[in-house]
Amino acid sequence: MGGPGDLPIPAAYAFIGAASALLISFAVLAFAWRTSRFDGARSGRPLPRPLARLVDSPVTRAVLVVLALAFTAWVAAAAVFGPDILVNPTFGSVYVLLWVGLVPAALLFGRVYRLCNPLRWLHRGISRLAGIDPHQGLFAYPRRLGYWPAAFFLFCFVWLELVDPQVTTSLSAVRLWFAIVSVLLLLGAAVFGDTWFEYADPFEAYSTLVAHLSPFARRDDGVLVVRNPLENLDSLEPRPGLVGALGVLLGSTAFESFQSSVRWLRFAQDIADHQTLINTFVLAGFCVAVMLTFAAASVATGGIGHLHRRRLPNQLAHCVVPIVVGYIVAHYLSYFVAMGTQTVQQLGDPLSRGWQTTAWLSGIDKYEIYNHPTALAVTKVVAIVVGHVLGVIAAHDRAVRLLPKRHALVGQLPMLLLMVGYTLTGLFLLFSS
Amino acid sequence: MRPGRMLALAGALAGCALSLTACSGDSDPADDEQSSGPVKVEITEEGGEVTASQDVVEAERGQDIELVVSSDAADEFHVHSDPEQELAIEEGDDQTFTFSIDTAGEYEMESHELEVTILKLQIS
Repeated sequence: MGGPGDLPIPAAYAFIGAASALLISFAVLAFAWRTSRFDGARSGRPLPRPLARLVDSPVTRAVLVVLALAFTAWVAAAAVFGPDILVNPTFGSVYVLLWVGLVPAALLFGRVYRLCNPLRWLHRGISRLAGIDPHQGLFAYPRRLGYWPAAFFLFCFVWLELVDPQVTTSLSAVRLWFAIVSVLLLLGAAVFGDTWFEYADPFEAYSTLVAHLSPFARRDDGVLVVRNPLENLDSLEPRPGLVGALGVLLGSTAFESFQSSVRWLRFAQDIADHQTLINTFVLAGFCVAVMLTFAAASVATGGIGHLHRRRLPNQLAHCVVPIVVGYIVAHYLSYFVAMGTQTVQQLGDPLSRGWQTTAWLSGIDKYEIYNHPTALAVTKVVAIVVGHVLGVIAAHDRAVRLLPKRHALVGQLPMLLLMVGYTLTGLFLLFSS
Repeated sequence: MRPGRMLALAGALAGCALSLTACSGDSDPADDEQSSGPVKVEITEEGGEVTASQDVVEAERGQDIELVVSSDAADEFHVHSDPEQELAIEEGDDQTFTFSIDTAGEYEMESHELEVTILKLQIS
């Protein structure tokens, strides 16, 4: 999408980050509580009455939904009627505002994407016209599928974004992708009812996972609460496919860093004819590697029976969420600021007709953030280390709840080492580019 | 340890990391105009292959980057900075191009004809 990329972080920062990650990890293991403290079902302080009433008011919700749908329509108009050139705001809206922007939106406001999800509203509209109850499908959604459909569609999206630059920046490819995925999601919703979106819509599923790290949440009893994000994370229900979806998110971000390394660029030159195919395999390899290593580290836990063991990967998967978010911040912060600004500027003229709606924004230097490389590098390292520490604490709390006392500490070691491994890999990718 | 204390510890360690890194200095190269002469890079394009004297070229903001290109074919080199650099390469030896980039960051320089990355510019 043009513009600069991040400079590699200085080696010293990577070392300090790695050392603090290691130190804190073992400090958690050695000194932290020995009986589980987090309780996602009950914890939290209710929001002040007026604030809760404002958030829950039908007017607030209607305004939010109308704005979201209007924005979707605006971008869709640019995608369908705008010219196929790089300044078409469709690209920035999809790859920056939607894909990266849903992370801060979910962290700040929780599950807003679910409320605004245009496909849910489309499905609701169609159901209304056909006189069907949108919750009701032909079949109940099979629990065993869990988040696997979301993992699949997430992979389809990162494939579109990362595998072939020609595809990524082709308007017809982006249009085709959204057309196919929307049809599949709507068909799925017709079969399984609108629960399907929760487990299949890649953007809603991603947003829901990240929303579990927000300080705000709606508890199962319907009360809006503010609480320790780790308590919120504890309320993420273990489901099949959770490891799959998180594996795609973490693996693909690591792949994107790796893809811009000099060594890979050299290799890519020699295989230019088969670039798409090889990139597809390597991207899939990164995602599967995360899933397999995570599953392996989970089941390498001692002291419990076979049946129980098979459920462990998804019961521990929530601790990958902060690692993913930390890595996303490190990886996308500057890109989000610069390209987000550019996209907003482009959105003022969606059809490239020379409209001057956002001309007042043209004085902003969108690349300013790149001129503070030290602050940027420090933020990246801190984001990765904080994500790692939150992940380790979440994993520790879950382990002391699930494992028998004798094994509670030793049993955590494989998972702890794996998380250290993820974090060191992340730091290495940021520093080597 | 309680969750609050744990977070405090994490915060303290992050703080240490911050202060350590802050000591390593962050002079703004745009401020001191003392930046030394141009950074020189030699690039050779021959038989559909392009090679550069450095894979990674480091320069400061505003510092001149001087490319000396020898090629056996016409080509166009792109640097996706803003404004974009487009260098028209002709057949022949020792063609010189000089440009500078004002925004820090990493930029790839690509051959348009061969569709490959030639080198990376790291502007700090």
